[in-house]
Amino acid sequence: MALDSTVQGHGLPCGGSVEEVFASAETGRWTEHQLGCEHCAVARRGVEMLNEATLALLDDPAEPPPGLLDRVMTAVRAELRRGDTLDLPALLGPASVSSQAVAVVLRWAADGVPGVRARHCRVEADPENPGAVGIRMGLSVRYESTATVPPMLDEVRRRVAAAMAGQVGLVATRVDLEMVDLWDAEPGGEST
Amino acid sequence: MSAEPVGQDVTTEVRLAVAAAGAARATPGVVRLQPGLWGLVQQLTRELWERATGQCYPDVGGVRVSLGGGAATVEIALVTDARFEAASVAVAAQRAAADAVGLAAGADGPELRSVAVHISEISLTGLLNGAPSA
Repeated sequence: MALDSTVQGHGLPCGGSVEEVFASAETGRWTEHQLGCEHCAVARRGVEMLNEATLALLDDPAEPPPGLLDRVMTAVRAELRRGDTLDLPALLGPASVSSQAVAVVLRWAADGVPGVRARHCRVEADPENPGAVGIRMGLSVRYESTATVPPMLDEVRRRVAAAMAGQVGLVATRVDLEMVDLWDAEPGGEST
Repeated sequence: MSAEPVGQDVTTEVRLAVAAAGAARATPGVVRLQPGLWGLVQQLTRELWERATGQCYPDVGGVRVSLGGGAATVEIALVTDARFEAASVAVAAQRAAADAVGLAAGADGPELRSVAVHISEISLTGLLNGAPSA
Protein backbone atom coordinates (compact mmCIF):
# COMPACT_ATOMS: atom_id res chain seq x y z
CA MET A 1 0.00 0.00 0.00
CA ALA A 2 1.44 3.36 -0.99
CA LEU A 3 1.54 6.08 1.61
CA ASP A 4 0.43 9.45 0.36
CA SER A 5 2.86 11.44 2.41
CA THR A 6 2.28 14.63 0.40
CA VAL A 7 -1.19 14.96 1.84
CA GLN A 8 -1.14 13.18 5.17
CA GLY A 9 2.48 13.53 6.21
CA HIS A 10 4.51 10.77 7.79
CA GLY A 11 2.41 9.65 10.70
CA LEU A 12 3.75 8.55 14.06
CA PRO A 13 2.09 5.86 16.28
CA CYS A 14 1.20 8.57 18.79
CA GLY A 15 -0.97 10.41 16.28
CA GLY A 16 1.55 13.15 15.55
CA SER A 17 3.67 13.39 12.42
CA VAL A 18 7.29 13.76 11.46
CA GLU A 19 6.39 17.03 9.74
CA GLU A 20 5.09 18.46 13.00
CA VAL A 21 8.28 17.41 14.80
CA PHE A 22 10.32 18.94 11.95
CA ALA A 23 8.40 22.23 12.25
CA SER A 24 8.92 22.29 16.02
CA ALA A 25 12.63 21.63 15.57
CA GLU A 26 12.86 24.58 13.16
CA THR A 27 11.11 27.00 15.49
CA GLY A 28 12.50 25.51 18.72
CA ARG A 29 9.00 25.49 20.25
CA TRP A 30 7.96 22.03 21.46
CA THR A 31 4.50 21.03 22.66
CA GLU A 32 4.00 19.29 25.97
CA HIS A 33 3.09 16.09 24.11
CA GLN A 34 6.26 16.17 21.98
CA LEU A 35 8.44 16.66 25.05
CA GLY A 36 6.96 13.63 26.81
CA CYS A 37 6.27 11.25 23.89
CA GLU A 38 8.82 8.52 23.07
CA HIS A 39 7.76 8.40 19.39
CA CYS A 40 8.17 12.12 18.99
CA ALA A 41 11.54 11.85 20.79
CA VAL A 42 12.76 9.30 18.24
CA ALA A 43 11.54 11.46 15.38
CA ARG A 44 13.18 14.50 16.99
CA ARG A 45 16.51 12.68 17.21
CA GLY A 46 16.18 11.70 13.54
CA VAL A 47 15.50 15.28 12.53
CA GLU A 48 18.49 16.48 14.56
CA MET A 49 20.74 13.91 12.86
CA LEU A 50 19.48 15.02 9.47
CA ASN A 51 20.23 18.64 10.36
CA GLU A 52 23.74 17.72 11.51
CA ALA A 53 24.41 15.83 8.28
CA THR A 54 23.07 18.72 6.19
CA LEU A 55 25.24 21.25 8.04
CA ALA A 56 28.29 18.99 7.60
CA LEU A 57 27.66 18.87 3.87
CA LEU A 58 27.21 22.65 3.74
CA ASP A 59 30.51 23.13 5.61
CA ASP A 60 32.28 20.73 3.24
CA PRO A 61 34.14 22.91 0.73
CA ALA A 62 33.55 20.10 -1.82
CA GLU A 63 36.48 21.11 -3.96
CA PRO A 64 37.03 18.91 -6.97
CA PRO A 65 39.82 16.38 -6.55
CA PRO A 66 43.24 17.68 -7.67
CA GLY A 67 43.94 17.15 -11.36
CA LEU A 68 40.30 16.37 -12.09
CA LEU A 69 40.33 18.06 -15.50
CA ASP A 70 43.44 16.15 -16.55
CA ARG A 71 41.90 12.91 -15.43
CA VAL A 72 38.69 13.63 -17.32
CA MET A 73 40.57 14.55 -20.50
CA THR A 74 42.81 11.49 -20.22
CA ALA A 75 39.76 9.29 -19.81
CA VAL A 76 38.09 10.96 -22.80
CA ARG A 77 41.18 10.41 -24.94
CA ALA A 78 41.41 6.78 -23.77
CA GLU A 79 37.77 6.30 -24.66
CA LEU A 80 38.22 7.81 -28.12
CA ARG A 81 41.32 5.73 -28.77
CA ARG A 82 39.43 2.52 -28.13
CA GLY A 83 37.82 2.76 -31.53
CA ASP A 84 40.92 2.67 -33.71
CA THR A 85 43.20 -0.14 -32.62
CA LEU A 86 45.88 -2.49 -33.88
CA ASP A 87 45.87 -6.12 -32.80
CA LEU A 88 48.87 -7.37 -30.89
CA PRO A 89 49.97 -11.00 -30.81
CA ALA A 90 48.68 -12.62 -27.58
CA LEU A 91 47.73 -16.01 -26.19
CA LEU A 92 45.26 -15.63 -23.34
CA GLY A 93 42.78 -13.30 -25.01
CA PRO A 94 42.70 -10.35 -27.37
CA ALA A 95 45.37 -7.67 -27.02
CA SER A 96 45.38 -4.37 -28.82
CA VAL A 97 47.06 -1.00 -28.89
CA SER A 98 45.55 2.33 -29.86
CA SER A 99 46.78 3.28 -33.32
CA GLN A 100 46.95 6.90 -32.17
CA ALA A 101 49.21 5.88 -29.30
CA VAL A 102 51.46 4.14 -31.84
CA ALA A 103 51.41 7.22 -34.07
CA VAL A 104 52.70 9.35 -31.18
CA VAL A 105 55.69 7.03 -30.78
CA LEU A 106 56.40 7.03 -34.52
CA ARG A 107 56.24 10.83 -34.78
CA TRP A 108 58.65 11.04 -31.87
CA ALA A 109 61.02 8.68 -33.72
CA ALA A 110 60.84 10.75 -36.91
CA ASP A 111 61.40 13.99 -34.99
CA GLY A 112 64.73 12.55 -33.86
CA VAL A 113 66.13 13.08 -37.36
CA PRO A 114 67.73 16.55 -37.58
CA GLY A 115 65.75 18.81 -39.90
CA VAL A 116 62.54 16.76 -39.76
CA ARG A 117 59.22 17.53 -38.12
CA ALA A 118 56.62 14.78 -38.24
CA ARG A 119 53.08 15.86 -39.03
CA HIS A 120 50.18 13.47 -39.53
CA CYS A 121 50.74 9.75 -39.12
CA ARG A 122 48.41 6.94 -40.08
CA VAL A 123 49.05 3.34 -39.08
CA GLU A 124 47.02 0.52 -40.59
CA ALA A 125 47.15 -3.21 -40.01
CA ASP A 126 48.08 -5.37 -42.98
CA PRO A 127 45.05 -7.66 -43.27
CA GLU A 128 47.04 -10.38 -45.07
CA ASN A 129 49.97 -10.34 -42.70
CA PRO A 130 49.20 -10.56 -38.95
CA GLY A 131 51.60 -8.54 -36.84
CA ALA A 132 52.49 -6.29 -39.77
CA VAL A 133 51.43 -2.71 -40.41
CA GLY A 134 51.69 -0.04 -43.06
CA ILE A 135 52.59 3.52 -42.11
CA ARG A 136 51.85 6.78 -43.89
CA MET A 137 53.46 9.88 -42.44
CA GLY A 138 53.57 13.52 -43.45
CA LEU A 139 56.78 15.43 -42.85
CA SER A 140 57.96 18.97 -42.69
CA VAL A 141 61.57 18.98 -43.86
CA ARG A 142 64.43 21.46 -43.70
CA TYR A 143 65.75 22.01 -47.21
CA GLU A 144 69.45 22.57 -47.76
CA SER A 145 69.96 21.03 -51.17
CA THR A 146 68.48 18.25 -53.26
CA ALA A 147 71.29 16.03 -52.04
CA THR A 148 70.35 16.21 -48.36
CA VAL A 149 66.69 15.23 -48.54
CA PRO A 150 66.86 11.55 -49.68
CA PRO A 151 69.28 10.47 -46.92
CA MET A 152 67.11 12.35 -44.44
CA LEU A 153 64.03 10.41 -45.56
CA ASP A 154 65.95 7.13 -45.47
CA GLU A 155 66.89 7.85 -41.88
CA VAL A 156 63.26 8.65 -41.02
CA ARG A 157 62.16 5.33 -42.54
CA ARG A 158 64.82 3.47 -40.60
CA ARG A 159 63.96 5.12 -37.28
CA VAL A 160 60.21 4.75 -37.73
CA ALA A 161 60.53 1.05 -38.58
CA ALA A 162 62.88 0.54 -35.62
CA ALA A 163 60.45 2.28 -33.25
CA MET A 164 57.60 0.16 -34.55
CA ALA A 165 59.59 -2.98 -33.79
CA GLY A 166 61.26 -1.85 -30.55
CA GLN A 167 58.60 0.24 -28.87
CA VAL A 168 55.46 -1.44 -30.18
CA GLY A 169 56.41 -4.95 -31.23
CA LEU A 170 54.90 -4.92 -34.71
CA VAL A 171 56.63 -5.02 -38.09
CA ALA A 172 56.37 -2.11 -40.51
CA THR A 173 56.17 -3.59 -43.99
CA ARG A 174 55.64 -0.20 -45.63
CA VAL A 175 56.62 3.33 -44.57
CA ASP A 176 55.20 5.91 -46.98
CA LEU A 177 56.50 9.41 -46.42
CA GLU A 178 54.97 12.57 -47.77
CA MET A 179 56.74 15.91 -47.62
CA VAL A 180 54.01 18.39 -46.77
CA ASP A 181 56.30 21.33 -46.07
CA LEU A 182 59.85 22.50 -46.68
CA TRP A 183 61.67 25.19 -44.81
CA ASP A 184 64.97 26.90 -45.56
CA ALA A 185 68.03 26.19 -43.50
CA GLU A 186 68.95 29.55 -42.02
CA PRO A 187 71.68 30.31 -39.55
CA GLY A 188 70.03 30.64 -36.14
CA GLY A 189 66.78 29.25 -37.50
CA GLU A 190 64.92 26.19 -36.30
CA SER A 191 67.19 23.31 -35.52
CA THR A 192 66.71 19.87 -34.07
CA MET B 1 21.86 -16.61 -15.69
CA SER B 2 24.19 -17.23 -12.79
CA ALA B 3 22.83 -19.33 -9.94
CA GLU B 4 24.73 -17.17 -7.45
CA PRO B 5 22.93 -14.30 -5.75
CA VAL B 6 23.63 -10.86 -7.18
CA GLY B 7 25.58 -9.73 -4.10
CA GLN B 8 27.83 -12.75 -4.44
CA ASP B 9 28.47 -11.88 -8.10
CA VAL B 10 29.47 -8.33 -7.24
CA THR B 11 31.81 -9.50 -4.49
CA THR B 12 33.44 -11.99 -6.85
CA GLU B 13 33.78 -9.36 -9.59
CA VAL B 14 35.49 -6.93 -7.23
CA ARG B 15 37.75 -9.65 -5.80
CA LEU B 16 38.88 -10.77 -9.26
CA ALA B 17 39.26 -7.17 -10.46
CA VAL B 18 41.48 -6.37 -7.47
CA ALA B 19 43.66 -9.39 -8.28
CA ALA B 20 43.88 -8.50 -11.99
CA ALA B 21 44.58 -4.82 -11.29
CA GLY B 22 47.36 -5.60 -8.81
CA ALA B 23 49.02 -8.07 -11.15
CA ALA B 24 48.79 -5.79 -14.18
CA ARG B 25 50.17 -2.79 -12.23
CA ALA B 26 53.12 -4.88 -11.04
CA THR B 27 54.06 -5.92 -14.58
CA PRO B 28 57.31 -4.29 -15.73
CA GLY B 29 56.59 -1.72 -18.42
CA VAL B 30 53.10 -0.88 -17.16
CA VAL B 31 52.94 2.79 -16.17
CA ARG B 32 49.37 2.78 -14.91
CA LEU B 33 45.92 1.40 -15.55
CA GLN B 34 43.71 3.69 -17.58
CA PRO B 35 39.99 3.84 -16.90
CA GLY B 36 37.65 5.09 -19.59
CA LEU B 37 34.89 7.57 -18.87
CA TRP B 38 32.68 5.12 -17.00
CA GLY B 39 35.70 3.87 -15.08
CA LEU B 40 36.55 7.45 -14.13
CA VAL B 41 33.04 8.02 -12.83
CA GLN B 42 33.41 4.86 -10.73
CA GLN B 43 36.81 6.04 -9.50
CA LEU B 44 35.46 9.44 -8.45
CA THR B 45 32.51 7.80 -6.74
CA ARG B 46 34.94 5.58 -4.84
CA GLU B 47 36.96 8.62 -3.72
CA LEU B 48 33.81 10.36 -2.49
CA TRP B 49 32.77 7.21 -0.68
CA GLU B 50 36.20 6.97 0.96
CA ARG B 51 36.06 10.62 2.00
CA ALA B 52 32.59 10.22 3.45
CA THR B 53 33.20 6.96 5.28
CA GLY B 54 36.94 7.02 5.92
CA GLN B 55 37.13 3.45 4.67
CA CYS B 56 39.26 2.24 1.79
CA TYR B 57 37.77 0.85 -1.38
CA PRO B 58 39.98 -1.03 -3.83
CA ASP B 59 41.08 0.92 -6.91
CA VAL B 60 40.14 -1.20 -9.89
CA GLY B 61 39.78 1.63 -12.43
CA GLY B 62 40.92 0.32 -15.81
CA VAL B 63 39.82 -3.25 -15.05
CA ARG B 64 36.45 -4.73 -15.84
CA VAL B 65 35.39 -8.21 -14.83
CA SER B 66 32.27 -9.79 -16.29
CA LEU B 67 30.80 -12.98 -14.87
CA GLY B 68 28.49 -15.20 -16.83
CA GLY B 69 27.86 -18.88 -17.33
CA GLY B 70 30.25 -19.79 -14.54
CA ALA B 71 33.15 -18.05 -16.26
CA ALA B 72 34.93 -14.73 -15.89
CA THR B 73 36.07 -12.37 -18.62
CA VAL B 74 38.64 -9.74 -17.66
CA GLU B 75 39.37 -6.55 -19.61
CA ILE B 76 42.34 -4.37 -18.72
CA ALA B 77 43.17 -0.96 -20.18
CA LEU B 78 46.65 0.30 -19.46
CA VAL B 79 49.44 2.69 -20.33
CA THR B 80 52.86 1.25 -21.16
CA ASP B 81 56.35 2.72 -20.88
CA ALA B 82 57.94 3.30 -24.30
CA ARG B 83 61.20 1.87 -22.99
CA PHE B 84 59.48 -1.51 -23.13
CA GLU B 85 58.04 -3.25 -26.19
CA ALA B 86 54.29 -2.73 -25.88
CA ALA B 87 53.33 -6.15 -27.27
CA SER B 88 55.54 -7.95 -24.75
CA VAL B 89 54.14 -5.86 -21.90
CA ALA B 90 50.61 -6.72 -23.00
CA VAL B 91 51.40 -10.44 -23.01
CA ALA B 92 53.15 -10.24 -19.62
CA ALA B 93 50.25 -8.29 -18.09
CA GLN B 94 47.81 -10.78 -19.55
CA ARG B 95 49.70 -13.72 -18.07
CA ALA B 96 50.16 -12.05 -14.66
CA ALA B 97 46.49 -11.08 -14.47
CA ALA B 98 45.38 -14.58 -15.51
CA ASP B 99 47.52 -16.17 -12.79
CA ALA B 100 46.31 -13.72 -10.15
CA VAL B 101 42.66 -14.09 -11.11
CA GLY B 102 42.99 -17.87 -11.08
CA LEU B 103 44.38 -17.74 -7.56
CA ALA B 104 41.76 -15.27 -6.36
CA ALA B 105 38.93 -17.31 -7.85
CA GLY B 106 40.05 -20.49 -6.13
CA ALA B 107 39.07 -24.02 -7.05
CA ASP B 108 35.35 -23.39 -6.68
CA GLY B 109 35.36 -19.98 -8.34
CA PRO B 110 34.50 -19.07 -11.91
CA GLU B 111 36.66 -20.36 -14.70
CA LEU B 112 38.72 -17.71 -16.49
CA ARG B 113 37.48 -17.33 -20.05
CA SER B 114 39.92 -14.67 -21.29
CA VAL B 115 41.99 -11.65 -20.31
CA ALA B 116 41.79 -8.85 -22.87
CA VAL B 117 44.44 -6.14 -22.72
CA HIS B 118 44.15 -2.78 -24.42
CA ILE B 119 47.02 -0.29 -24.49
CA SER B 120 45.51 3.17 -24.69
CA GLU B 121 48.78 5.08 -24.50
CA ILE B 122 52.51 4.50 -24.79
CA SER B 123 54.21 6.92 -22.43
CA LEU B 124 57.33 8.63 -23.76
CA THR B 125 58.14 10.24 -20.41
CA GLY B 126 60.86 7.73 -19.52
CA LEU B 127 62.52 8.11 -22.92
CA LEU B 128 62.36 11.90 -22.85
CA ASN B 129 63.83 12.01 -19.34
CA GLY B 130 66.55 9.60 -20.37
CA ALA B 131 65.80 7.37 -17.39
CA PRO B 132 66.87 3.75 -17.67
CA SER B 133 64.09 1.20 -17.81
CA ALA B 134 63.15 -0.40 -14.50
